[in-house]
Amino acid sequence: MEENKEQTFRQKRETHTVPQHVKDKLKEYNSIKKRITEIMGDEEWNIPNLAAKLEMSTTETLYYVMSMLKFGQVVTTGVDDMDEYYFYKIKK
Amino acid sequence: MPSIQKLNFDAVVVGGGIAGVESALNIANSGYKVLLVEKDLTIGGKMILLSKVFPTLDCAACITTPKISEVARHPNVTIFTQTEVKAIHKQDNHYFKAEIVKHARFIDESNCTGCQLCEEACPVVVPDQYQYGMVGRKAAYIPFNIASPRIAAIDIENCILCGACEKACPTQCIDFMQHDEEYQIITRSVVVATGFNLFDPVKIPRFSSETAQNVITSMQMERLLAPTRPYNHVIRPSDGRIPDKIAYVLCTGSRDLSVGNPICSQICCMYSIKQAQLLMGSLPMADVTIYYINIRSFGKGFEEFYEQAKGMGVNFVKGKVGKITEKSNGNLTLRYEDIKTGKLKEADHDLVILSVGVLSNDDPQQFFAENEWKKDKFNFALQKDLFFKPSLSNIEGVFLAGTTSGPMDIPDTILSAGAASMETIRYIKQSTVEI
Repeated sequence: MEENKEQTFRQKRETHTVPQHVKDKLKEYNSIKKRITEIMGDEEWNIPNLAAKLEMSTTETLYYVMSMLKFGQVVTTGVDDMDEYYFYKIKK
Repeated sequence: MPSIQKLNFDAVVVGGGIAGVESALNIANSGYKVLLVEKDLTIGGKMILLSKVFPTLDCAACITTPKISEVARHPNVTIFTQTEVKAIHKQDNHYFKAEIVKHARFIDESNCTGCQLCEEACPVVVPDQYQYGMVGRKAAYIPFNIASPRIAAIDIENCILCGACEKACPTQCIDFMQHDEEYQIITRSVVVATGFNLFDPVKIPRFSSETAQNVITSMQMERLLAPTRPYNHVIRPSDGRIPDKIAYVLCTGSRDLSVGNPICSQICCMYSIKQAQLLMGSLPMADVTIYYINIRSFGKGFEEFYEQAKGMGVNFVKGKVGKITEKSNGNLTLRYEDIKTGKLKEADHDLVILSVGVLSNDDPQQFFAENEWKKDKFNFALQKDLFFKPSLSNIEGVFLAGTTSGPMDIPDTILSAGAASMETIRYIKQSTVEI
């Protein structure tokens, strides 16, 4: 049963080549996710502060943090005193 | 080469939005066999992606999902998702031959339980088209929580063939060896419910929607307000800031000869007023301004809805916006003509929503080519008898449901689908041809 379960993706590899840009995108996502996880540590971060630390645009930072939020790797912890930005934290 | 599979139906409904679903249900309830064809992974069309509906502020998903669930369980309805109509040929007065292609989903649809374990295991993240790119999704994914059918799909273009999904699937329903399937459908009638396209504001460069991150479309705002929203809060896409000075620009791509669409889209005023009210609810401290040429609140309860928005504090400015300029902090300056005074004015906002208009969907023209599918002067389907039989197309046996024939709101779409299905049932009953 286990044999059958793993068969079709291997068979597909024989006829379908994964484009290089797809592999590159995956590497890029994983490396940014790793950096975000390391930088955030146990602290609460808002998007502009995290973007500055990552040296990445706030738009891109928001995309990655929101994707991590969607996949349950990040949680929202609250909003700042000025009601301007939400704080996010790595989910432990 | 896989062989072409042949199936017979009394009606083929093209388009699985609310008009198609309503038409399919009505025809199926009369005892006829219906094939509902949808090009997307899920039925429900644009309506299932909305936050709430105007003027009642009912939850859009709460209205859509019971209908969708009913059509999905109906014994007389067969649903093909991710399926393209290639051609529909009229054979004689009472029968059509349709060529359709069901694209591979790489999932055994009958075995998938929608458990999302494949999604959890998949390492690939790409922009989520159902959230207008505001957040990522996996390459093995369920479009969204209330998708119907709620089964996974593999985005083979972005899949790295690591096999993680296949290993994680408890029902072994992932099948990378699936191929597109070709069908030849014999049907007595066709209902076209292909819906509409939204205007792409990139065609108006002076609104800066391509370059300014905080200039978004009304459909993106629908997603920001919907229960299945990408950010869990209403925040700016540029930096995650909570907006407090929000502007709506009505008639973006409607009533505008310069972009080739001179007609009113009929829904933009009311959906903008609806969104403004929802924003006042989720961001009580925010100022919301609607820049309009005319407010067209023509339907039942619409004027009261407009008055309600004014009462809630939504600011209405009769002004034609000429240009939107982005500042270094992501805020936006709107330059507009104050129509009441005739003066040019400027106002600063931190989020601008372009209330984009409704355009025709040209798909039917592709598959009806040889029967000369006729369009009206605004590119929507030609209604043979606009006043007495508005659901009749120029091709006998082909009926029009919903926004295929012109812009309309959801209640009118349901009415139009009802009319189209009644005409279809009448037509099928007259048929004497054995198929």
